[in-house]
Amino acid sequence: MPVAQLKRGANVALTREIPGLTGLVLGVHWDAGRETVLDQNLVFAAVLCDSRGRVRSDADFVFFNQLSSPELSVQQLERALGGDDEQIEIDLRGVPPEIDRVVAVLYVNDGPGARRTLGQLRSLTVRLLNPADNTELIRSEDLAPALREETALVLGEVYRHDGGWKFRVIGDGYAKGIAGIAADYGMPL
Amino acid sequence: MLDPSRAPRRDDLPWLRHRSRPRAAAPRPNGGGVRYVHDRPQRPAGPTSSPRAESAALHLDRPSSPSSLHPDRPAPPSSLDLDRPSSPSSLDLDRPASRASLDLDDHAAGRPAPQPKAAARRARIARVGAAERRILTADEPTVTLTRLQSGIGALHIEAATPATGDLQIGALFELTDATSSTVDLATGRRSAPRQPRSPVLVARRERFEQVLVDLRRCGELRRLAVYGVAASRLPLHWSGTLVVTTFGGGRVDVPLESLPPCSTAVLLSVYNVGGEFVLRAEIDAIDGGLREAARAYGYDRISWLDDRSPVD
Repeated sequence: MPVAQLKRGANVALTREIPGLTGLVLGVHWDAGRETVLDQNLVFAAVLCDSRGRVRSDADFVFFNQLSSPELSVQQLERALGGDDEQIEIDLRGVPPEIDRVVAVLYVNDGPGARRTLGQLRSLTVRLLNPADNTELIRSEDLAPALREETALVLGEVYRHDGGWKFRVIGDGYAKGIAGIAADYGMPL
Repeated sequence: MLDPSRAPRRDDLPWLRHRSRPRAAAPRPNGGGVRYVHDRPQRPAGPTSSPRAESAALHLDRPSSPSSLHPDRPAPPSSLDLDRPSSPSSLDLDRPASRASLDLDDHAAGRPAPQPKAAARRARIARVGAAERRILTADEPTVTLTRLQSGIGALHIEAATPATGDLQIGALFELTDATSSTVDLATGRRSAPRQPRSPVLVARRERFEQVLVDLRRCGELRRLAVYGVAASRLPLHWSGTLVVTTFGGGRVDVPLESLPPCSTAVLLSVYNVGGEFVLRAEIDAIDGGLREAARAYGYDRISWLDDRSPVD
């Protein structure tokens, strides 16, 4: 399957296109330019949803304060990440049946300092890799130019469809940051 | 910045892996406190040097052992258990006026956090929901924030009190890199570490004096103790409430009126236990100044210029 560039809202039937696909790497890359405070306050997270599109509990929000991470050396990490800033790797065979979709989100933490927005990003892309051979399958369009005052963004989702898996680029922004995403997915804050 | 190896690990999601490029750490030419090099495993400063802490039997001089704290894990009798009724041999966060520190080495060292084994045990941990309010009392002095509440937004701690002219607040703190000092507007310590752009802790004043924790960097905070000091150094008649607010609007109130007249008091302690912040009402009048409060609570890595000001 050639590398495709997906626009917002576009989806691809992953397991139909690649029948032997057993895992996925979803990577995100951003360029915050000289906005180091923005860079340091960006949080990438995965929201694990049931068939209603809601989390089952707060444990279904996987972020830096409740990680699911292997121990990797710096070299292993560099090799795995390639050009990405953050990645999640999903073993499609191991996803519990009650998990219907894995949603990748990015938000600016609303800390004590001056407020930053995703509109300050110079570029923002998500891509999918096949972990079996590290080939890039899909890359999104640059999501940054459409962003303004948003402080959280649903990047995309990997979801079940007809017994297989699909991926969709979403790119929906939230002015209320992670609170807006939490409300939509039923995350208890 | 954030060290993923220190973040709480989960073993319940074998099908999902998260990889993160370490962010460039901001330089700390003159960090917010003294940074120590240890030749033994680091641990929170213990209160063992304080005669007031003799009743606490948790030995902190031992390197980390299976008896380290974790609220979800069944623990041997000699260790801390947040759920078990207090016994003389164990440190109990639910018992008022105990000054012992917690041994957090297991988590600071990044070992995998054990997973919950019994939902019933977890259910007994006091929680505060979004937009819910909980009042901490001598009978129920603790509440444990979830990992989301401990890692999203900022934790606001504010002294809502009519004695604004005389009451000043601040916080003793210890970071996971062993930096220990205070944030305190009155002594000019507005942030910690003291680099201006990305502090973990901020002291500021809006309507009332506040201490804020930047929860993007929650993994760098080991513990803190919020104190109140009478600016006049004269015994203060305490009133009002220390109000802690989470990003989701959960509120934890610590009423201050039960404090006897005194010029220094420790009001609230916060411990980072495996990614969950345990808040505990102390409401503890200190005989002496801030330096004595620091000693009583085991913040013994701070050197003092006088009884209020650390030497950073």
